[in-house]
Amino acid sequence: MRHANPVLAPLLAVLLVAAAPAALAQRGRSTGLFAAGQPLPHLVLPSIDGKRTVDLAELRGTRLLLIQFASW
Amino acid sequence: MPVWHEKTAPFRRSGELLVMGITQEQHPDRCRLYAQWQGIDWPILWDPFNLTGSSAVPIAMAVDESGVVRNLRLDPRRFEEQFLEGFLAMEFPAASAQPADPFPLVRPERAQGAARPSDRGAEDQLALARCLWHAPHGTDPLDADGWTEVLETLHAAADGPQGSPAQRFRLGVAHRLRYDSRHHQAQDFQASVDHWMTALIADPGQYIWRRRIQQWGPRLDKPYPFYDWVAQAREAVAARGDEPVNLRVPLTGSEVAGSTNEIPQREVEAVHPDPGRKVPRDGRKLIAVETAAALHTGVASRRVREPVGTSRVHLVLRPDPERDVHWSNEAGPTQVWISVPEGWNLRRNLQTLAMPAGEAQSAEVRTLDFEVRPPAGSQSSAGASLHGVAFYYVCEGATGECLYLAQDFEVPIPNPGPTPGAGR
Repeated sequence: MRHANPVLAPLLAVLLVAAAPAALAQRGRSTGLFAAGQPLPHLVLPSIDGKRTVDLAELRGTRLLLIQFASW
Repeated sequence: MPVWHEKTAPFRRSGELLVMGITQEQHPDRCRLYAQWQGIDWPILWDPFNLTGSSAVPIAMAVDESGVVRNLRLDPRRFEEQFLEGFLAMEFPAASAQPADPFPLVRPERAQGAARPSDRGAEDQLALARCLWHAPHGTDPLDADGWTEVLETLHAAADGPQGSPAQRFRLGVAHRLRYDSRHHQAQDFQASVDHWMTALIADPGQYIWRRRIQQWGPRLDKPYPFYDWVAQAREAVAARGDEPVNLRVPLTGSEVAGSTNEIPQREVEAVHPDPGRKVPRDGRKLIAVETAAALHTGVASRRVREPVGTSRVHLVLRPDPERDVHWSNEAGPTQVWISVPEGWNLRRNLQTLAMPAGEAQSAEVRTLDFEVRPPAGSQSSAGASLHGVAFYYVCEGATGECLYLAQDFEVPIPNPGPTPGAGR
């Protein structure tokens, strides 16, 4: 059985953590604030008519299809 | 969106599914018209600042009942496999992680208040909140001082040691929001596209930012027309007996123009209307002349088709409302003469601006946009300056005299770079 190098192991762990978001993005598992397997973030946005605001993190209780788009 | 709207209808009706949109565009009412036209009745949120950080759209995500993202890349062509079988029919464990809070101060309740000591270092978030909840809907709009504070804060954040391309993009969005407000500054339009271009140069893969420039950019750089559907949408909504959503900010030519591969060529040889400079100049600035130029986004990267030199020039003529200035339409049209340096391409030197039919007088803002291209071999039109003269029939006050006046102006084509010469 191989033992981890006590000097290199922490450095390797740091490098892996730092590279994780990029690796996730490459595999299509994250985009911007969103990551597969993670809860929706606390992002509060107004509706297009300005009449309500929604915190994405509070969208719970029903299955949700969330679509980012533009009318152009 | 229509395809998702149609495919999910039974599940929305049964209460099994909630559908929500987030639109990545500058003007929310355009998306409102689109939704009205398409019969979309689910809520749509507005993210002009690209706070989600997504770099392209559309993106459809499946989120389970505990708020966990289960699929980030739904494809409507794989609806049964991905959505029905891989999401709606599946059981998921309850969420264990807590939601991240990347913008804790960008909340409506914070839009009113000044920064507290504990908020220091995040004043830019408060500035974004004030824009997001005050600017576009006019419910409690920022006053002139409020806009100055907001923009100074966002400038400081973008220019600071921790400033990011995303903050630069958001600064451009705020400038454009002020430009479309009652407190607009003439330089805001140019400042917005300058900041967007600076952000895009730092991150050329950010297509949300790229599209924001292309909205006002040259046809050679457009992947498709952006808002050419608006006329059809208005007609269809009106034909149903409904009142189409009003677009608070009128569309400009570039926003409805189609894509092209053709380099603009001179079409008509025109005669200068005032070669001897005999028309009196508008020394009192009854009409404010504003200009802006949007470069081809190929300046930021070489991923788009060559050549990259073409720019779209925007000209805005505003009668001064304080002095009740208005156009005298019955006297004649407003015209503009543009002079370009030797070797440049411009379809027409002399152009006539549209005016309302059947109205003897009017006081609307008049706009014109057109494209220019430097001589072959030039990689960019940036750094040049065009000279123009506007000719107009204008009256001051209800009983004031009407005059035929001219006004000279310059159109600087911006130099893209890390520090744009943008006003605050």
